[in-house]
Amino acid sequence: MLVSNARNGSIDDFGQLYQRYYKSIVAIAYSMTGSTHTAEEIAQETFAVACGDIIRLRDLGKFAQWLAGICRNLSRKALRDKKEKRLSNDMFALIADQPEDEADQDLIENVRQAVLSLSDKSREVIILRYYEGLNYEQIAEINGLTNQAINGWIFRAKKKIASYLKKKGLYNE
Amino acid sequence: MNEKDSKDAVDKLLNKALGTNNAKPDFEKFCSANVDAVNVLKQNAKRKRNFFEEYFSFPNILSQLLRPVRIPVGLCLIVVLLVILSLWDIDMPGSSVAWAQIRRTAQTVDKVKFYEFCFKEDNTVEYTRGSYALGKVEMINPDGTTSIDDGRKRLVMAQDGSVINEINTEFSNLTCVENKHNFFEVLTKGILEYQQEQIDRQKPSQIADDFLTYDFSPPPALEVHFDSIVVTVGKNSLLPIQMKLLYKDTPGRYDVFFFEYSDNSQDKQ
Repeated sequence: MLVSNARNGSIDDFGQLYQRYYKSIVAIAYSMTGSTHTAEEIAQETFAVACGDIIRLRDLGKFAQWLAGICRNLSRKALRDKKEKRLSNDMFALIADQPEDEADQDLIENVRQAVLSLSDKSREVIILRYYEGLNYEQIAEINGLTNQAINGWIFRAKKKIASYLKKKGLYNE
Repeated sequence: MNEKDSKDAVDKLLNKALGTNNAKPDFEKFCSANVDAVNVLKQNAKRKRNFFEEYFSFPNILSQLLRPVRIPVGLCLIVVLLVILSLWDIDMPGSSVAWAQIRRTAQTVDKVKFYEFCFKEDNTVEYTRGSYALGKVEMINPDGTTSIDDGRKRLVMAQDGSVINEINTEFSNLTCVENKHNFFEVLTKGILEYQQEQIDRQKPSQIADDFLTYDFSPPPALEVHFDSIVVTVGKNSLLPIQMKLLYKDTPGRYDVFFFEYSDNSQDKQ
């Protein structure tokens, strides 16, 4: 109903959609660009594009998926414009709490590196789950997949992270 | 550590390493920063959607109708497409040009110049040039004499124009010479006149951007002498540009003809 009303020009309903999905969109952009500042800019641009194009949205039930698609395209464009194809190594460094203990700091740094080594899709799912704190259903809605599929993505991503840490001698199963 | 503990450990590490998303949605700020986009959205309210558009727009109906059968329909379409492709002769442009078309086009040519290079088995090359006009073939021979052959007799003339000799024609018993209508068959001495029906149906063996290549086997009567006859044809003009005769009885020998249509200007290539 919210999407339908927003499509018919209701700015209040669009505002509610904005409130509901803003952080998820920031998280998706963040998973691709590695910068909170750029991610917030991309999220703003995503909603601005959605404002103008929502009239063209045919399947109203796929609003979140459509929005995420716009965000991914804008993120790719931002990376192209900056000519940065890879995420910087200091991703997450500014937003996460820095542990005081040096051993802990090393472990946390390696977990970040492990996340960076994931594929775009796996990284996005991990960021949505752990950085944004979405549940499987919410992640599934954004990706147009089933809960089981998301569960599979997260399971495999975590396995890769564990394996990365194991290779570094930082993790024992 | 059991599997559950292991998963919990990775969960904790990820929570610790990634932190939390502190982005705060501020819609008012968004509206003030994106006035144009918001105005576009507001315009949608003024746009009246009629009853038909709302409930019966074609993509919606189609989408709803096809939803339960989308995958089977998609598969069926692919199968139908493959069947059509296999039954229908969907080929590259030029692949369906049968030799008969080339022969008919060649019949429209009254005059043509040709250059013949005979590559011998001892690696020497003999060069002849000449022209064909309305059933007569005039050739400048390697020894400097000129011969004119009209299909009945051959006159050999010196450089000053005096007749040195009158000998038998090289094109005797060729219907193409009698009919005076196909230079190509005359110049190939009727090789391609044998089994014409079969040859006429032949399609190109090679298709390039601007030419087609036809590869003929020699007629049974000439199999002892020739290995193959390869004719290159202009794709637009459908006229022979080059012909190569490969000999069987003399290994290493082959003749190459080049055709020039300066008078007819039919081949622009």
